[in-house]
Amino acid sequence: MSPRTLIPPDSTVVKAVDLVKDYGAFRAVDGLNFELKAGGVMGFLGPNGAGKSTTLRMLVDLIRPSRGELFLFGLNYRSHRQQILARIGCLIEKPDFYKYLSALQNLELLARASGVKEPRLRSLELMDFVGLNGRENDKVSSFSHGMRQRLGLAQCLLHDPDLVVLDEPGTGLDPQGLIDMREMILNLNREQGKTILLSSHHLSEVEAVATDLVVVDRGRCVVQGSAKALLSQSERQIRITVGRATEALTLLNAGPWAGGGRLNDRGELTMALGREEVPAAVQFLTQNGFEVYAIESRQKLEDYYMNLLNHHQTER
Amino acid sequence: MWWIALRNESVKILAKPRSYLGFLAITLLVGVILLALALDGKSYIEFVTSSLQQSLTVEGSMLNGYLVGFIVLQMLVVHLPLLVALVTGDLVSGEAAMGTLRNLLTRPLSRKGLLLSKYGAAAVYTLVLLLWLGIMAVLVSPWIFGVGDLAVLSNEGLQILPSEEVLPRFLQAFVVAFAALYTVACLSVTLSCFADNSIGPIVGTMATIMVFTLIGTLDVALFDQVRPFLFTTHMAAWRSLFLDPVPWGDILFSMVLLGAHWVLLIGIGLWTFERKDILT
Repeated sequence: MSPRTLIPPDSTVVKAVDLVKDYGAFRAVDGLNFELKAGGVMGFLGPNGAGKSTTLRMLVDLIRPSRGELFLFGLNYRSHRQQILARIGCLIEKPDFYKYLSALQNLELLARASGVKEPRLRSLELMDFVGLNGRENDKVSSFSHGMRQRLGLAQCLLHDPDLVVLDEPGTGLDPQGLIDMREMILNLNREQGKTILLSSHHLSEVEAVATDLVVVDRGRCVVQGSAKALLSQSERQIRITVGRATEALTLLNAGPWAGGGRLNDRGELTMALGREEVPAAVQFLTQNGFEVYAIESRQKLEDYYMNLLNHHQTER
Repeated sequence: MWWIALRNESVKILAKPRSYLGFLAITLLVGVILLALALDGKSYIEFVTSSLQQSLTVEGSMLNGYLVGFIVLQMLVVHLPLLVALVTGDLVSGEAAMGTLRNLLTRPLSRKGLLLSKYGAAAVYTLVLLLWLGIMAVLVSPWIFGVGDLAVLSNEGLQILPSEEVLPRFLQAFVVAFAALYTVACLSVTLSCFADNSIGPIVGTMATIMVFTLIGTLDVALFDQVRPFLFTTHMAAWRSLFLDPVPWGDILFSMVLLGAHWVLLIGIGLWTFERKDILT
């Protein structure tokens, strides 16, 4: 591979300015603005139909914006398509390969198309990295979804890109597969210095790796910032495992914490409380005959994300 | 990079089982024709030349390898467009349907370069398929039936070409047949740029050939102006190379027109592919 200029830390790798994509009368992306700095792992979040996949496809030039500007490494696709793509690796949606070719043949073919000098060597190296050694000569048609997902990660690293764009890399993976994928993403970022843009509905996985977050809804950016800063701004959630949770919620809503509690989808009582309020809340519940089994204090991305989207959608 | 892309396309065509259907079909069809002519060739020749038998006396047998080769070519050049379209119509849309087009288009090579490599691979495939037909028609047939002068029926009547002139004419005929078949390949690759499934471009190519052939054969004054410019009118131009004298002016016009079709179809393909949103 040809030597490349290293990206200075904190330089902007991706900059989207008023990005718009229309499909006929339908506007999929509506004036999206965001920036991704070098060296980070950006969690790119949003509900189904928010415009995430369309944005990611624009980032790798699979679709062209209707309006707006997109800069990658300070360049745009109109004048520097090949230079940009030489520095991006991507796994968009599901990993698709030529089923009639072996895993190694697939990687070699893509490595050649990426301008890799020693395609076979690089392909074998990456099959080892993603844990597929020993399966090089097996046809892709015999691979499980998880194995294809790993091969998908390998194909996007063939040309040693600076920016790795991953769209739902955890889809269909079993728990061990998810852990392995997380470890590989962390390795790519921390050990190999790659900038990562990760779109996923597995919020716990995003939370485990993301340094920055962008949340989009209906084609617009709802929030962007460092994951740490955004989560620290959010209210601390106290999850209380209590007997007769629905009755407990009714009681709390009628009392001093009206509107502060809700039941999550597992039927547990969650409340937005300050740390100093926790003993009083527990005392209030026990005095009223409720048995408190567990108290967990947390600042989870899932809660932050759900609150943010509920708030945003109510506003609209 | 274009050569690398062409190599990749060739690797894919070689590995795809569908690519061998054409070779299998040609082998079977030629085999059937050769067997039928070996068993009952004399009756066939008598039937074809029945109108000439009162004015013509033939010494020896007209049935030889060159005549069989000529018959094979006539019969199979009709079927070859389908066999070509089966593979070339899949080159872009098949990848779109499989999702592999995403992988290719996010590599650092231009969309133009990638599509041109597909047109290049279509040319190689068409050429190899035609060569296989050539081997079956011009090498296997004479091996079974022997060689001799070639008797060809034309509008002028029966023409006899001396055996030493036949092989060069076959070679030239293959060049003209390639030009016609590559037009079919270009059409199917271009249609493939508009579709996200494999079947559409193949059906589209065959439908275009059928409609153009119909326009070409209907004796309607309205179509007279259009007919010379339809590529289907020139699909059988290779046959003119077996006439005496060879109508070189007509053949040159056919070649120029077919070449113009290549340029037009490839141009439309490039324009479309460059602007195509990849949504699969």
